[in-house]
Amino acid sequence: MNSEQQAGPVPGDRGAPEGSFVNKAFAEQALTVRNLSVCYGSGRWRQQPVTAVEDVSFDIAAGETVGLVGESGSGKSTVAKAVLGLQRPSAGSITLNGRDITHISVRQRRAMVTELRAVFQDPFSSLSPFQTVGQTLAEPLRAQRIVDGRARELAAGAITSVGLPEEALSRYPHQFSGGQRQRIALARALVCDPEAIVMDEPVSALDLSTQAQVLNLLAELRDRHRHAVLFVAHDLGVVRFLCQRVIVLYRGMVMEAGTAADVTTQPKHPYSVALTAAAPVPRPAEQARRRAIRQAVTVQGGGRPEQGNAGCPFAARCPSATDVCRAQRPPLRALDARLVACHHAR
Amino acid sequence: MTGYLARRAFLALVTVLVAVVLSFLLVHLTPGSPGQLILGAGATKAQVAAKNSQIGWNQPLLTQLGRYLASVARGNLGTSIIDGHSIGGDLLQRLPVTGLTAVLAAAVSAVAGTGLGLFAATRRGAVDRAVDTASGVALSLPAFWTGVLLVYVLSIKAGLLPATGYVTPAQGLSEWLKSITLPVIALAIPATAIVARTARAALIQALREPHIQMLRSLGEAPWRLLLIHALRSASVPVVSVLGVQFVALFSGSVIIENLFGLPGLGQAASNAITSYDFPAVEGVVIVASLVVVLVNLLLDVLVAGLDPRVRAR
Amino acid sequence: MSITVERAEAPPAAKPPAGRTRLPRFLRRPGGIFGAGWLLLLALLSATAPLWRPYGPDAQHLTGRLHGPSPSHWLGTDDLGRDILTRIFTASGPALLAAALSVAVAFAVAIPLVLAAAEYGHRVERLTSRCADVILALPATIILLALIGAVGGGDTYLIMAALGVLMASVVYRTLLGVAQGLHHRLYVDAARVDGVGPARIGIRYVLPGMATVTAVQASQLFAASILIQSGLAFMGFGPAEPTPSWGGMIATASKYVYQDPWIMVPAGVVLALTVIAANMLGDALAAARHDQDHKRRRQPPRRATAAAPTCPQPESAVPGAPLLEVTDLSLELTGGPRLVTGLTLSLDAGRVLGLVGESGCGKTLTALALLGLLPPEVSSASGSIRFEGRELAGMGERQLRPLRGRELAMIPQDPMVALDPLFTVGFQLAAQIRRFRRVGRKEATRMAIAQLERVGIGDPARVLRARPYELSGGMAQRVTIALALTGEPRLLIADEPTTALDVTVQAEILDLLRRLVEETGVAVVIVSHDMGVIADICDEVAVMYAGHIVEQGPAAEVLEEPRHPYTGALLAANPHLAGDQAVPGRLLTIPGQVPAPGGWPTGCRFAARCRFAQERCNTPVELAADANGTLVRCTRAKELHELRTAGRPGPG
Repeated sequence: MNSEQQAGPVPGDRGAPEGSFVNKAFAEQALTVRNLSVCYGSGRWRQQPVTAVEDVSFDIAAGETVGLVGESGSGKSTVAKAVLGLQRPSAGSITLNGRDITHISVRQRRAMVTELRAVFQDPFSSLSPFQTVGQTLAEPLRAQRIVDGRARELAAGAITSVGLPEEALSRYPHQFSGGQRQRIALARALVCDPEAIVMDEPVSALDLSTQAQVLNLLAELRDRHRHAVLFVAHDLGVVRFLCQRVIVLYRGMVMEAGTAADVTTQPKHPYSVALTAAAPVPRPAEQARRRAIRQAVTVQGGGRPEQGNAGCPFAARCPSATDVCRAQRPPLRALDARLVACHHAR
Repeated sequence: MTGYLARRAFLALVTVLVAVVLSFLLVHLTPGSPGQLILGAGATKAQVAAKNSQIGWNQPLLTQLGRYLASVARGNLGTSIIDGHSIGGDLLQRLPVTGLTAVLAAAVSAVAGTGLGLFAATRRGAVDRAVDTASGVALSLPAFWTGVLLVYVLSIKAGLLPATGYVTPAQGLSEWLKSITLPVIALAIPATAIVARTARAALIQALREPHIQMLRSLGEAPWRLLLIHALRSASVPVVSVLGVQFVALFSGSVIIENLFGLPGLGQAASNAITSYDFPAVEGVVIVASLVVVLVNLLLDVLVAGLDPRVRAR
Repeated sequence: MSITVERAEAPPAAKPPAGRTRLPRFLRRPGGIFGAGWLLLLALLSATAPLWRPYGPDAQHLTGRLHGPSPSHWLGTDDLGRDILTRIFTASGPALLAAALSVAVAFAVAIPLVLAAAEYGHRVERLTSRCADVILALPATIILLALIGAVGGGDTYLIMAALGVLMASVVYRTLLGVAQGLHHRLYVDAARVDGVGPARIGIRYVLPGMATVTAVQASQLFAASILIQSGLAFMGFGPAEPTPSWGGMIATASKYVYQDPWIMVPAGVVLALTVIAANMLGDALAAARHDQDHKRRRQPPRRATAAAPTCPQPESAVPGAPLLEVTDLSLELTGGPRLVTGLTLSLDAGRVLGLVGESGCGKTLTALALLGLLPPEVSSASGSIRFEGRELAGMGERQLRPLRGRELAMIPQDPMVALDPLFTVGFQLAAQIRRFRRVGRKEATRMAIAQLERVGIGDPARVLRARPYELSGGMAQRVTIALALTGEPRLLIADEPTTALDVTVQAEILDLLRRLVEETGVAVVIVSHDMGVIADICDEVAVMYAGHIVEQGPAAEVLEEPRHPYTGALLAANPHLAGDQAVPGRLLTIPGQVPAPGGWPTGCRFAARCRFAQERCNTPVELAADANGTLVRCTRAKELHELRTAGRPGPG
């Protein structure tokens, strides 16, 4: 948890026992992912199958917000899609509240709609332009056979909880700004009062000031409710602000996992180091310092990385890579209250 | 590239096969039998039945189809049941008439259409709108109607060109040209309009593309941007539409040949149908499909050559 | 559940101006009005024909054959003395119906196939697409003729239905692309997550999106169908005599064209007008859709569009003119509101100037103005742009072109689309090298390799042979930088050059730019929305808001100690923190929204959203120099700075 957060239950908390908010080990694991692998492209003539995600495992407890960070090609969006059932896993398992949801059918997913919800990145295309906001919010309730009056109530509740007035329900998405549409997308996720929410880069497409508003809203939700949130992002600053824990992905594999503060301020994996050093900070003096770290740490790269190497996926760009790195994939091992996949990390 | 070619060629073969089977089935739906038609109204039922079994009309459908396909594969399209002429030979003679006319019309529309499109894309404003309206009208006019009007004005009234009749190029090049000028114009008017619209839209789109902007920022001359870079980007949709137009021209020639008395495939088709000459009908369908499919294949290859991204499909 | 965050106001519903109903867009165009009007009129006249026609369609007047128009026969008589007007409008009903039938059949066959192909993925799509390809390649008229041979020409409706099946392949091709595009929209994914089944997705989410394309196609196919129908009738394969048909009437007319040329006109003109009407209707619908798309795209853009950076006069002024000097530049929407006002900046060689701001502040437009590459709807209203003493503002295209590439060059935002996808990198690079340096092919290739090495590409030979879409984002951006440097320009204008790139790659590109500035002394104007990028690479920065500069000065000063409340708020809203900073519980946010061009107040444009606004902020504010050399556009700047240093809350 962030150091600024108060320990202890927050008013409005959803029925959690006293003190359990702090003691993570005893909280239920709401979302569990084990050895998830996703391959694209098998079956198409003359196309190499692409492994987007390889052997990714993590847990998210109720009330936790976990960040999944990586650059393009890291597989983070694929993991989110696999959890949501938009992408078929090739191996591994995904469990929600103890139930295995890895390969469930569309019908079963429909029954589960109140437990697992999503917020997507692009506010301009994640809301159907052919339906009013109210109809969009009511859509997930239809699967639960909640219609008309009751549905309207829930929709109204959800829309006001994100700071928009009830009149918004009868408007169409194109009448709102980007930030407002993201709030509507958030309301759509909350309307069923879910156990878990998957957010795929929900603030990446927003202006800085709008992003701040939405981040504050997300922080508020984090503090008041016990959703388990998987927050996919490419921006370490955002993740540090919002998430309690962070998982760093590179080319479909977990490189490092630990608390947000630890991983972003004292990264142990060379890739995490490169990532934190590359993230620009709007303070020229600090930025100069990071530049010095960056130039000492990374090998100037370029070119598409090749697939199917036996060794560590980062070996080609890592300044401290040795033969064992290129030959053998490093296992994910525990190191000072976090997990690191590196032969040489201390 | 070869993979792409192989895939398209296979599809082409399937298309011809479907056309053949389709026409075969249609022909067998015709009321009446060939025997009746050949022997005329006076024949008795027994005589008709005898003639039919002689032709092979009474055998099961699939057997007939199989035999037909086998003989087609050997290059034999059979003989007409009306006057016994060799269908293959006759169609082979007629093919150049239709083919050349369609090719000429396509060429004229390609050049004129691209030119008009270029003109409209660069001038914009009122000129652009005028071209747009004119092309909208031009592509809507029925070719057979404009054909008759052209005959009236240029042939009957002005006496410049022959109204009907065909002269082969071998018999005299200028005579040949004169005999096909009116048909080509009638066919080319709508095709030019469509090509012009496509070219204009494609050029405007191409000029807005980021890589053209990049070249502009580097100081490339505008005429080069238009005629070399934008035109090349625009060539893919233009070539595609030319392919579609060629098919339409080929189909449309059926009507035009009727009007201008050109001894091409279209005339063969209408003759065959009105006289219930079923082998001839099948023959025309095969030849026409073959030509159309081959031209499409050629254009597919051309497009794939112009735009490498297409090859992945 | 109530949350104490800023309430976002819902925008007022777009109400049409009172007293004026809104016509659908396609009816506001002349083509649309004509098309819809004519077709409706024709349908009406055809439906009521038995009521108003002056004669029976078969009534012959053998004495009055082949007469032109007369009071008793408005459109004349045909070869059997029959009234042409009557026959035309008797024939029109079945013609319209038959064409409508073929269009209906085409869509009835194609749409379920399209929806299924888009929804059920690859295998189904391959099968249906192959079938459509085959049908598309068949010569339609000839197949129809074969059908006519089988069933006779009289059964127009059957033949048109068959045409409909053939046309379904065309519809399929067009709609498949649209449906697949719609399927990839995020809201379809969201619907799936909502548990919506495939049927409902097809009907509620995909089908409405195909509405306009369907309407356009339907009009065009209607036109084609009428043409084919008439063509068949012309050849004698239409309804049998004495039933009138347009094609048949034209065929008759062609036989008598020598004796009575007029007879060609009525049926032909009505036929032509009908086809023209249907096509124009299609055009109007297509244009309306196009406008709609453009309108939607111009909505709140994603964060991009940097403001043109403005440079304040450096304190240690070097004698001699600066490389770039912009004075009081104003840009406006041609015939519309101002988009950028009063822009002043200057830049020396070897310096990097950052232009920063959020969407819509005018930064990209300012950058484009420097190159003279403003889009056609924007023009420069006033002000001067001096480059090495030469006045660029007001220069025509012919004078600007020699400067582009040689003196000024641009680095684009998205490198993948800025390079020509059809040619190799080597070809494009060598072409520019040969144009600028006038060398032969081999020499150009050698120089291209050297150029690629200069921008940090490790394997230049391989990259030369590659096509742009085969490269990674970072590599492609290096290539565009190499391309921009070919003419050895003195000023580079980079429009969000790293926004499309991963953060580690972004860092590399920024390092590259910095190295190039050091090595060659080129000056750079960089447009960005990211303060971190500015902090990394810029010597000077200008912060833009609502079309003008609110603060400008050395980057170190402006970013460490901002003077303008907007700059401060922007920095405080930024979640990126230095290692030693504590994570705030909440980020500082700015209430309200940026005022749109045309709606700028005369006073401070930020006042409506500013925490520190007072009465005097409603008067126009100028850029004023501050103690440490930065320029700030705020009446309270000094005062707020003093409050801050005294420990009270302020902009920083």
